[in-house]
Amino acid sequence: MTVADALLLALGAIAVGSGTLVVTSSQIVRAGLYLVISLGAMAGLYLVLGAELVAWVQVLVYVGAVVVLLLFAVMLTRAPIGPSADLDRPAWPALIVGGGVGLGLAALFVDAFRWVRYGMPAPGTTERMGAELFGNWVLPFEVLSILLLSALVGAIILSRPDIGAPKPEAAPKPAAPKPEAAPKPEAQPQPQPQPQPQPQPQPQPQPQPEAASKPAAVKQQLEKQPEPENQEDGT
Amino acid sequence: MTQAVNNLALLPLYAAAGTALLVLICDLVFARFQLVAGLLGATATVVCAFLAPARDTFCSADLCSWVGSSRAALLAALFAALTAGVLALSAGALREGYAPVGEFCFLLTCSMAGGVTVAYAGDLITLIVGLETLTLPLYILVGLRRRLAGGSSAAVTFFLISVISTAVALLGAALLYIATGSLHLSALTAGTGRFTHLGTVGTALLIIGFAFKIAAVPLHAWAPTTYDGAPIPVATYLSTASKLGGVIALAAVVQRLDTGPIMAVLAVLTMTVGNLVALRQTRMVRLLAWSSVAQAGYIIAPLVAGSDGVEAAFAYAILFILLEFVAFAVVVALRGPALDGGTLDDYRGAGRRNKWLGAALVLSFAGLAGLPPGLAGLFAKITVIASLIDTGWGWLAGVVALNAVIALAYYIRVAALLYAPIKPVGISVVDPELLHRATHPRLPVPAAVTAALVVGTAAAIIFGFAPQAIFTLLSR
Amino acid sequence: MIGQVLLVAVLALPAAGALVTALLPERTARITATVFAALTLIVAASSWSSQDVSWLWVPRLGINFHLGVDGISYPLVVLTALLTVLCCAYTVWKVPEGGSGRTLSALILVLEVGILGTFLALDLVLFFVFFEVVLLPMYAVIAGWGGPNRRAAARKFVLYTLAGSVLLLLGVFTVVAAAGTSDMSLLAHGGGLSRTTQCVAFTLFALAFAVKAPLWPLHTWLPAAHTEAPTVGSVLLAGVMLKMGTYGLIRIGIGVTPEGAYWASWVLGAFAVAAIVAGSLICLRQTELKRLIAYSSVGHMGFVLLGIATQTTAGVQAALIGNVAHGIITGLLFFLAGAIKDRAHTGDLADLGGLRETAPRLAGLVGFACIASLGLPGLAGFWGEAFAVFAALERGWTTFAVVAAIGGALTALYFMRLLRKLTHGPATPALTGIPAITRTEWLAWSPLIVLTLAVGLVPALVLTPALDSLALIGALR
Repeated sequence: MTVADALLLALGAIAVGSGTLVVTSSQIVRAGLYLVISLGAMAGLYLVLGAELVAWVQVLVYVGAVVVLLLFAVMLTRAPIGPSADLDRPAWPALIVGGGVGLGLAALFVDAFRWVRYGMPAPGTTERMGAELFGNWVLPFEVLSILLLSALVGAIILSRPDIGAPKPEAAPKPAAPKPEAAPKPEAQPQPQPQPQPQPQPQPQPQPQPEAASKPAAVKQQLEKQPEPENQEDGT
Repeated sequence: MTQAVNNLALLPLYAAAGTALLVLICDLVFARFQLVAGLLGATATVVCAFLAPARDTFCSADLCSWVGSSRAALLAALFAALTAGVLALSAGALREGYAPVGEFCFLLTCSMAGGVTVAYAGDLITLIVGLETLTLPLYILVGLRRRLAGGSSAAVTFFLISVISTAVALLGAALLYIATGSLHLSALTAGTGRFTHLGTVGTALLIIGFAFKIAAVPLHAWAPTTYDGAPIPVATYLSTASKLGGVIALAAVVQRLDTGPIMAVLAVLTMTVGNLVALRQTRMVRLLAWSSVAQAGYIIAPLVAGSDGVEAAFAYAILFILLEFVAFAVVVALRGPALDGGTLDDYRGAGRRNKWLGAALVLSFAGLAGLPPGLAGLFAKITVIASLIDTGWGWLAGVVALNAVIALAYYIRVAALLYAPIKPVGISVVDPELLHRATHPRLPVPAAVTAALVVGTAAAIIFGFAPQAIFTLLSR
Repeated sequence: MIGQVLLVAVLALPAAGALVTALLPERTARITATVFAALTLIVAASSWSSQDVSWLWVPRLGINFHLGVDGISYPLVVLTALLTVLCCAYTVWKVPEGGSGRTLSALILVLEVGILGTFLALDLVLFFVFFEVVLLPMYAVIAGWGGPNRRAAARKFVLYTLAGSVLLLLGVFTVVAAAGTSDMSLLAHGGGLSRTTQCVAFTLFALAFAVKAPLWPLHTWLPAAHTEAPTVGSVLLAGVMLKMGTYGLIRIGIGVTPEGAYWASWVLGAFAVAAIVAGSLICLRQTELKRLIAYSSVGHMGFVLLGIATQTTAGVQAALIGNVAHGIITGLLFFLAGAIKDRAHTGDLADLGGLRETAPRLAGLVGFACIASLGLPGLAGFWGEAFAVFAALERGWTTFAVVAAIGGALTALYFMRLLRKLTHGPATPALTGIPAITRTEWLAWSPLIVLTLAVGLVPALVLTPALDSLALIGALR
């Protein structure tokens, strides 16, 4: 049992353990912090295996960017900080599926590798990573840039409801409450662009019930809609 | 050691990505012409796909990430044509302001770039990255109707299921890599020795991950909710281009690895469940969604034979996509820009009010059912059944035949509804026809939608009479 | 060259006619449709001297556009063209309720393309394609212009027939996969297929054509479809569409898989005889005019199928002439039934009676048609029934022959019962004061009346051209 084996076991235990705590915790900030630990342990695993660049990229991107983003989102959307009941679903289906998959994969790997001794690979220095990435995998690397750009633009559209806000239909329907958002008190009236009177060139069949009056309808609209996450006020 | 890059062969990808950037720049600089830029760029991508030389590039030794062939060119052209078609279909809604124009067109063209990558992909990483690029913009586009009920739940369902499926597919690719050490499609093999089980599980996970994309049963539950909650042009794109991406991915895996039993199970379940549930639908877009689930079953069926059935599967997919596009285009034209697909009753008598739209929808449904005058669909079914019998899967051909009969029941019900007489109103009226015409007015159809519909129907009719062109392109 | 053009014109003319008819205004459209149908009849009649057409269509699927006419298909081609002209002419005069006559005429022409294509196709997959062409137009005709229960009847028709068609598709590709070609002339005499393949393929073919023919017990779509269809729909359905099934059984069942046909011949014969008797017994209980004629088709097709099942030359000839005779006579019967129903506004036999007193000419024609249908010697229906019984005896199926003959007697029984109820007895209110036969109706019916007599007196009209072609099928004992 070398030092590397012991470290792998320890870091693996930390990663799995904190991962379990992420999904079983009932407080969202604690879940975020446990995620930091889990991803940090993953970075440690990469280091033990000699993949230096991947380890630091893991810390930078996942821990630094993603989890911090999560925590900012929790802060800015005023998600409940304390324990909330609907964060934790009934455990048994998840336990059975997750445990089953884990056991199955474990059995698979044990069957494939048994007690084979593998020598430690050469350290994955930046030079080697670069050679591999830009020598063999250039095309997916470049296509990923398109993916990231579209993700960026898409995130901005989703988070800024005033971009191309649709002219409201004559009878606004209340939006369905999103599953991950707990009911938030709407304290901040959103500077909604004033709905222009929509020219009705043709009578369209309106199955929804018409609102009583325009101002009342707008006020109703403002109060009923839960705001999407990543709300930035006064951008 | 770097890879040589043949820029001429990459023309389609350059055109697609360039279109996306062009749309973004138009939005930034001019704040107009985004839709026109998108349409022109998509057309340019179609042309580039056919003009570019069919060469492999991004190769290390024998293994290439970009594999050029006339089949890849045809599929890439189809992705671009579908993007152009969907952009045209959304013209009316975008003009009314139901979504930000520049961003909408940009996201759709990014999706097109992902589709082009999938068509030419030569290894699993490029394939999966391309698939993600194809579907990620759709997460956002599905959720654009979030002010109406069902919009956001559709988007979240789609997003979660899709992300899980990508993760599963990546796990499968990783297991396969451990077992065999190769990621390139031309070098995929089954695991040997003690890696046999690992390789098999990896293959199975890959298939399951890709089967999510094509909405195969039992991984289909997201499809009807998502299609119904999305704007109709986006549902069109989901049902055609996203499915094509999944088919290409499945075909790539099936060509080299032995997956007969799992594909057979998927095919039978998908066809049967899709058709049986579609019989009970009362909303038009849900019916189209379930029918496209069943059609995915017909597409998967020839893949049970491995590489022998790939051509038949692609032929069916292409002909199906033409007909499905026509069906959705007619729904857009009949319902107008703002509304959703509506219930089946909203279409009662629509064929009498709009003769040409009704004829196009009847053509499309006849083709999806596999009957003339939708000759494209007839040849598609013939191809699948011929391929199955040729490769020794006769019982599966029987299942396909049985499902064709079940499917006709609901296609004919909707087609008959188009020409059904109006239901009598509860009170007695002097002129029920006039009342019906007043309450169900003929909506003006934007020119772009008409153009898309005409091109789509013409393509369906032409390839119905001359499907050999598709077969020739697919075989090389 | 001109022969090939002639053959392609047989299909191209109705197709072009359908397109043109759909675009013209109402009354002009119906007349144009009749003109196109008449042109098709002329071309079809002269197609005897045509040459085979064989063009590549979809090489990947092995489909060739291979058309050809021979002695077996020629009478059916002419019959189809004739019935279509009569139906189009009838539609010019009278459009049933439910939609525009222009659309009905266009649909009739599309149906004609499908039926003619089926009879002319010499490539298995092409045969299947044309087989499918008739499904949706016929559905539209029944569902659009039919009687009160038309929707259910049309739906049952189309689902049942599609089930048969997909079985045909499976059988076709079983043969094509085993033989490597789909050309009927290359596949004649079994085309080198193994016995197992032939038996499997023949089972699929037999089931498919049994739905179309129809053969009891797969006939349940027929009565509803015939009763609810408009007059022209019933005439085409009974007159020629049923023949697609029996023609397919001869051309493909016996021609391409003769060993399979021989293996299954006894079973087929048993079902055919059961169809004759069952059809007659059900007819004895019928109280609705069109339904009775529809069930009589089941019985007549039973005779035709018995002839095919014997796989002797006499049997197949009986089937051929029985086909043509049934087409002519039942076409005439449905025209007459349509005329009576339009005048009396009911088809219920309880409300109809005494036609002899109020419309003696119409009663005479009905009598003539019924007697022709029950197989009186001297009229067309006799030859098919007589030769079928004779062929059964020749094959050694004495029991079948005897039961078939009894069935023939039962046929006479129910037709006599029909005539007694309809034409004799006191005149019922529904049939009092009905208008006389109009000139258009005489024009529509007289070719059929003349042909009934002609084929009855000179069966060689139908049988002589077929003699050489029967050798093509081969394997006839």
